[in-house]
Amino acid sequence: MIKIDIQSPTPIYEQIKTGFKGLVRKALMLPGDAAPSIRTLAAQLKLNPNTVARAYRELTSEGFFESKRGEENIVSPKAKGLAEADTKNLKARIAEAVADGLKNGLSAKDIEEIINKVKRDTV
Amino acid sequence: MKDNEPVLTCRGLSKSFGPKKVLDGLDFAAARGEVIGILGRNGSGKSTLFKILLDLIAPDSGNVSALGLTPDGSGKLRGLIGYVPEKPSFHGFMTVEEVLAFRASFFPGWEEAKAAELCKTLGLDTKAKAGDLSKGNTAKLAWICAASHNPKLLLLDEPTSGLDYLVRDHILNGLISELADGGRTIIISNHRMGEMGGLLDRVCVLKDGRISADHRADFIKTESYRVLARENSPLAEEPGVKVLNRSGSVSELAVFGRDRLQDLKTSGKIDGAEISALDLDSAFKALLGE
Repeated sequence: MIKIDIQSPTPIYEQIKTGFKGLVRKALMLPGDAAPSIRTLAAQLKLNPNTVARAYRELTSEGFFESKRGEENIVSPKAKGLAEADTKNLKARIAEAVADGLKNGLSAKDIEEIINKVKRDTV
Repeated sequence: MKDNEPVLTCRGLSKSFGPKKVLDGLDFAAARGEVIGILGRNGSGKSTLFKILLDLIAPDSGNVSALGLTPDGSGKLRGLIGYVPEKPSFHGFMTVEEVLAFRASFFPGWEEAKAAELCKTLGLDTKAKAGDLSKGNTAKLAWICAASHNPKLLLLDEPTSGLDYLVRDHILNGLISELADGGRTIIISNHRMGEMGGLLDRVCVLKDGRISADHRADFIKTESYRVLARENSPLAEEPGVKVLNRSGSVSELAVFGRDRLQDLKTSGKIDGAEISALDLDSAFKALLGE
């Protein structure tokens, strides 16, 4: 459900966080849903449980998860808002990169090619 | 025990077989909870190192301290370490069940229920004869033997080599589950480290009988670069810089560390550098050759 690229220079725990925010934004996870346990997600993604634990800890301290029922990590009612804020941020960063690209002499077609390549690699 | 407390320390280990010096003053340490990949070419001494740690052979010089013990030939240390050999072998006439019962007597921490549970999870028939097991099932049995006594230190020698995707998945999941239980230190030797990329905390390169490079896994992920450049004068290889390809005056370099890259760019030795991230497998390959 979350896709991790272990080759990417983006730290894996960041990729996990972004992955969960994506799931909430796409309404595949809703407030009140439980996230998979650290053990389960680590096994699914073939990651060190410590890495997953770090992502969960940060998502909890950001208010995206709430640890209510014992050990479970529950998507909080605030999660949707946080995911949207993340999207806004990402959009701004992409806009900035595109603007830099255009200034550098990239054509709209070059940028489209980049988008297509990224889509192929991540979706 | 604190997390940074060493579980294993080796100092100045040397071992020769006849004229061949396999280990030559090797220093190595592992902290509690660490997952360390030992990267080395075939014949670089990985298995010799493991055998010394397991007290199966004695080093010519140097010393080892593991889990508060030193190898003394008594086999006491061996009972505390989970070990998956490169080529596991069992008494062929025994059934899986018998192998497990036999092994249990050597390990003070053996948990019969865990062994049974693992057989079920991995789909291993306990009535089958060990001699009739496929390579994949033999690997599963080796893993069960290593994990069932809840060792604080696990040594895995090429645990996934030659296994199909599904068996490899089982072994990796087993490892992850052990890690999730906490407090396990795991040392894995593998010459294809890419599949372990998401598990490792640290990667050590074993070369010429010692640890020639020791990097945090996230350093390799975030600070290894592929540099395409024009060489002004032939570059001598230096620590952290490795020539991957060279055609005429154009070279492809692997560079480890942001500072090293900065130094190289300002050194005047290269021109027109095009820099991208180095993928994990290439990074390991470059480290092996370094």
